[in-house]
Amino acid sequence: MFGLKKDIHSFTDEALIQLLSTRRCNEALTEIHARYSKKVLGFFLRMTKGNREKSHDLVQDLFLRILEKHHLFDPTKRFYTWMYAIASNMVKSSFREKNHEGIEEGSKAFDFHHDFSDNRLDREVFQRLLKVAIEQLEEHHRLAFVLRYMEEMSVKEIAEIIEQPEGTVKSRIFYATKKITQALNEFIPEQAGQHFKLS
Amino acid sequence: MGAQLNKEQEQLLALQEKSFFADLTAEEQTFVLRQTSQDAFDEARMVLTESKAIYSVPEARPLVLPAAAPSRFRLMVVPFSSAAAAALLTFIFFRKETIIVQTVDKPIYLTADTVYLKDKIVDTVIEYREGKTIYVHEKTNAHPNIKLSEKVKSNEILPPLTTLGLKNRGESMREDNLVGIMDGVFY
Repeated sequence: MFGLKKDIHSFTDEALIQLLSTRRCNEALTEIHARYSKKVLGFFLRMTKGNREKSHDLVQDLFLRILEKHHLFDPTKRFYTWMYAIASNMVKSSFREKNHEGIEEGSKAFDFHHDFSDNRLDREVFQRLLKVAIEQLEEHHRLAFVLRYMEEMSVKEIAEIIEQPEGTVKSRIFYATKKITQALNEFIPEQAGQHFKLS
Repeated sequence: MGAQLNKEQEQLLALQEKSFFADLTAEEQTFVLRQTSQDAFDEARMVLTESKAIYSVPEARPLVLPAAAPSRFRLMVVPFSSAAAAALLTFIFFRKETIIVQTVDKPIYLTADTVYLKDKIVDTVIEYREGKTIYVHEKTNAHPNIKLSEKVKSNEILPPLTTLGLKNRGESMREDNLVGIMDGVFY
């Protein structure tokens, strides 16, 4: 009805993008931020080895880029994958700048002299090792692994985001997993193969 | 390390994403054991499942929206005289003249046998001299002047002046009832 605004929460992502060209621009961007900010913050944290400050800055930059480049969005495609494509490119640029210091949550300070006397790793220790192993991956392997198992995207979506064939995505995921398990075994050689069993 | 996986590697990856070794079918377990060990398979499976939980993700900070660019039009202060002049010029340049288009279903054709214009009346002046010699020339008040014949001696035998019976001799024949017109020339 004329004069009544449609509730912003009822808009699809793609419709919100269209609103960025209108007077409801700020409202639409705020809604998109509310929907995805935490998710992409998680993505940036995983890709920047847990650098929180950097990740928060990247989230802010990401939404400003969405605002600036919304006219480039292809309405026949999904907003979600388009947003992650921008986020992935930002991470790549960030890697080129080699600006990743401040690894948080103790990943560098991991105590490799953990007492494994009970021949069994507890879940917390395993996760700390796993985190280090993932952070040691090459950027293109890490990106594929993070999108697949942490962001829970399909191979097809990842292919769209990184603009590579699905076969390449599968290959990167497979070898990323292989490298992680190799790294885990290198951390604790005596545990290799048979002791990564969570109690 | 190839860019593409072979069929077995693809299937192994699919099974790793599916479940731990113990939860696979007998056929799948057989396949896995041809490719790798059970422990290695479970280890890879554990990597996939545990990776989701290794980062605690805080709430994102509130979005800082960019300041809206001020409109230049709002900041402009225009004197009243300038505004009035601009409005006038706009009116002059952009006014549209009304164009009336009329469609005529039945065109009207005008025909005429003879057309002459009143202001192009040509008088033929006949001068009688000495009762015998007769000169004929033309005069007109048309503007611009139309081409007149030169003054010539008449070759015709004209009646004597006294027999014409003109009411006012010496006046223009233009006002005379006898005046006729032939080929645009009065006689």
